[in-house]
Amino acid sequence: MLDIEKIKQEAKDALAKIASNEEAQELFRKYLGKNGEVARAFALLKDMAVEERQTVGREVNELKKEIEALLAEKKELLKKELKRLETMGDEIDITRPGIKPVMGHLHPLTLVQRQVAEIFQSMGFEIAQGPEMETEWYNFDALNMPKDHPVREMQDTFWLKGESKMLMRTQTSAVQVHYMEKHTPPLRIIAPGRIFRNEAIDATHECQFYQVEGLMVDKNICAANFKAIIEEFLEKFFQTDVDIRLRPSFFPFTEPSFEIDAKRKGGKWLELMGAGMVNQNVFEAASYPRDKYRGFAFGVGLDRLAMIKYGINEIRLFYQNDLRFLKQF
Amino acid sequence: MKYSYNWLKDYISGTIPDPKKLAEALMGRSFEIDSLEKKTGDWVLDIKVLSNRAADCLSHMGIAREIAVILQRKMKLPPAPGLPKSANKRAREIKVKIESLRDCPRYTALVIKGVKAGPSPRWLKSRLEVCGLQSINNIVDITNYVMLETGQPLHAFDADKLGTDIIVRRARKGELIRTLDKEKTNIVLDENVLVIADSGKPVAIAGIKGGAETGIDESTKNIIVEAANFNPVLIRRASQKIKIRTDASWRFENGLDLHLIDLAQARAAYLIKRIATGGAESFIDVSSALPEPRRIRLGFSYLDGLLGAKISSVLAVKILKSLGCRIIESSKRGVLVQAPSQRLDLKTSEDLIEEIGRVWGYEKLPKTFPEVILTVPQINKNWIIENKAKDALASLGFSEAYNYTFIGEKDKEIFSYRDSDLLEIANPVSELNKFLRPSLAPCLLKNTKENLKNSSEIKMFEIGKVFVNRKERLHLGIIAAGKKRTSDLFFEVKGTLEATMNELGVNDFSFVGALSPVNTALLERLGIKANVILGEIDFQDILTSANERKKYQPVSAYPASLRDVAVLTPETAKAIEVLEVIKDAGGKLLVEAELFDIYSGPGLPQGKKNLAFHLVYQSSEKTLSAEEVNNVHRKIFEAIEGAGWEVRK
Repeated sequence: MLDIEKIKQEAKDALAKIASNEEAQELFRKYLGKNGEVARAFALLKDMAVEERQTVGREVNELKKEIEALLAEKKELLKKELKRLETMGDEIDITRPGIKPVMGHLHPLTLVQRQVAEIFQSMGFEIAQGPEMETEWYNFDALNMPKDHPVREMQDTFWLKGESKMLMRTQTSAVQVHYMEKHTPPLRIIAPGRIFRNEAIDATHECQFYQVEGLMVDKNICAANFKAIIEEFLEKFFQTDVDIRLRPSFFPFTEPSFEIDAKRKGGKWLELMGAGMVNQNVFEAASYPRDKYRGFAFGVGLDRLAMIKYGINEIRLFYQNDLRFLKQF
Repeated sequence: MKYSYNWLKDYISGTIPDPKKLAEALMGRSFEIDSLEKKTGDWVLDIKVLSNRAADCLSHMGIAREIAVILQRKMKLPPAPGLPKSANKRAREIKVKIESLRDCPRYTALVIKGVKAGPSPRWLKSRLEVCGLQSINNIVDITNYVMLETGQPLHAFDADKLGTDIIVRRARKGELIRTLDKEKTNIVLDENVLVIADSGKPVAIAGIKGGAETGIDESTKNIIVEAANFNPVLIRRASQKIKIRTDASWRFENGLDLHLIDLAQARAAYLIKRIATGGAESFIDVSSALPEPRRIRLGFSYLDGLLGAKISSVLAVKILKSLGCRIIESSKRGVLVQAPSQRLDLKTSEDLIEEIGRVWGYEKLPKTFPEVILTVPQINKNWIIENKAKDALASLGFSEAYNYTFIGEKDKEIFSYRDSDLLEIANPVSELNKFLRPSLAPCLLKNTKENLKNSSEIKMFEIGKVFVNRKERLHLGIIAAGKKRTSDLFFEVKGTLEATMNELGVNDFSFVGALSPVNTALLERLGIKANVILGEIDFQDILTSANERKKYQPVSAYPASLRDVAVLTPETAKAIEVLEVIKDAGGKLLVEAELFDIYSGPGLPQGKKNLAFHLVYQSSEKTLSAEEVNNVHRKIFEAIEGAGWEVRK
């Protein structure tokens, strides 16, 4: 017996339950396929009387159309739902930590050298470099520190065996005369680099340091220019207001010479660098005529700047290369 | 040097600020204060006198002069009555002979008779103690007191233990002297050391230390007080040679005013008479010509110009006068001054500008940006390339190390360096700093060892100076270590370097030594239990070959055709050989050939491996037909087979 109503009801119930395209496809086969319920109903028609065949035939046709419409509607719905799921990311646990590509880290002294270089370059200073293994002339004599001058003793020097008068430079000031020999003022340079002191290493002593030398030479450079430029640099470097004070000091290669202390907003005075107006003897060593030019020079310890900036409490950490340290920069 | 606050007060008229305020004032105008401490009713100021001011400021009178200038006060000078005339007949009982006036420009001997040697009065003891000196006896204490007061070192001999001759001469090689200290050390001398001798043997090491034989004791009746001036370089070298540094040698090394002797001897005579009852009998003075006072010219416009401040000429002159400078000539434009004799550091107009500037006060110095011609700084190409390489390496997962420039004896052994490989330090203080590193490898390996304690995978690099063939070179070192297979580590490092060099525009680079696994024996010696790949490049070569220039190559407008090819080769065949054969045969239309898989193992004949390549065919002129692509592809097949390998179809 053909119960069209029952088929219709069953199809409707089944449709309500399906949740995927695959199930919709199966339902299609079950009702509208070659051997589906609708096809079988049509097959029953041929054994019926003409009148009955017409009535039932119309009903089966309607059943077919209805199921087709319902299925189409359901498929549309499924499509929308799938899209929603995809865009909502409902199937991904977005709270899981991301997959980080492993990045390496630059050494804090590289970072500090770059910051210093960037600030001075923005003020028109050029980066100059010089050798770490230096002659006695560039490191001492040319800087107005002749042989047997007691100030040479202030800097414990690594001398090289078998290389007469060769040493490991004790100051980046050694770059000054190298550069001036090849350039005529006006000039302004900074020279970052490694320097050496012949000391046994312990908690407070190191045998190598980083320094940046600054030199500006022209016809009318004055100490007030230095004060302005160095304060500008320190404020840019520490990204805060900085007070500076100049105290009398002595370096053979500058006259007058200063010691520079700086104080960040709310902080304490910190001794930061030595500086001064270039001694005419240094110009003479660079073959400039005496009294034609004036200039200022300064030398800042980069290790110290890095320690202040990053709150590093021990200088030895810079050369231990512990990845747990390096990864923090 | 340590200074007594009470003592300083003696030389200044009127009251002076409390010790803390005084220290602050000195700090801003003169010298750094290392410490300020209370001590038995007094204060100790430890003042870091700059080396150019040692001549005039390693003394209480010197610092008092600074204070008087800063506070604009008058100095109170201590009593110093005249000395007996050298021409005194009795002077002949002592003969002073100086062998070289270059070594000793002035030598004076003050003969004092009838002294009572004994303990010092309390005030004298306590002043010395505040300054860190121990009381010995009244005579020695007075010589030390006068040194701390004036800056001139003195030495007292027991006149009865000394012959009639005082000779200032170089020591003879092998001569001995027993020094005047608790240890009574025997010092071996040579011709680099200046001595004071009697007709027979040395009685003192000039400017450094007295001898034990002629020292003062309780029985001493007659004394000779020596005040002399010695060549600073000579004293410095001698003191380094015999490894004795004293309060006296420290002062002589820095140079002293020849005139200072007169004041010091007068003070000694005065104090000995007061405290030890002795009377000055004669004063012998042998000297080269005393130096002419130094005259220095200062232009006021240079003063303002060098400091960048306007300081009135009246004020400038007032400051110079307060410092003891005599004005010889004066005009609107400048002055000619005569520097006080004790200020050996004043020589040039810049020296005077410094004096005026610091006394005036650097805090008043304005901040003025320089007026310059606007120029763009020259690009430092080396700096840029080095930093670009660092950025590339860090972005590829490698962290940057900064190691010591030095290696020690132990490293030399472990890494089997020969003496000829290394530059040696002539005067290392530490065993760890004996040689300059010839390579970045030793330290990177040590870093790796340490880091493996906390981390299972190490990737590091360093760009730094090394010293090869006695020359300074810039190297790049790179290291990867961990549990990964050595071959994987190798290709990671190789790929990282290739990517980095690509970034620098370097097409070709080679290694110092080789990029290779570190040999097991070395790893064992170092105690590293991991696979390690280490490579080192001469980065100086990279600096010259790096090329920042980039030029756009138009992209083909026609579609590309992608094909793969799998090649069966013996295990020993090199990937690059196969790739070259493919590229040769592919010609212009083959725009890319990339190795994407290497396989050997089950499914392949023994001793063979499969190399799989992606090939991209493309023309910049037209769309390639299937036939055209097939033609080239076939040619590649033929070339592969021609080379003796097999194309897997």
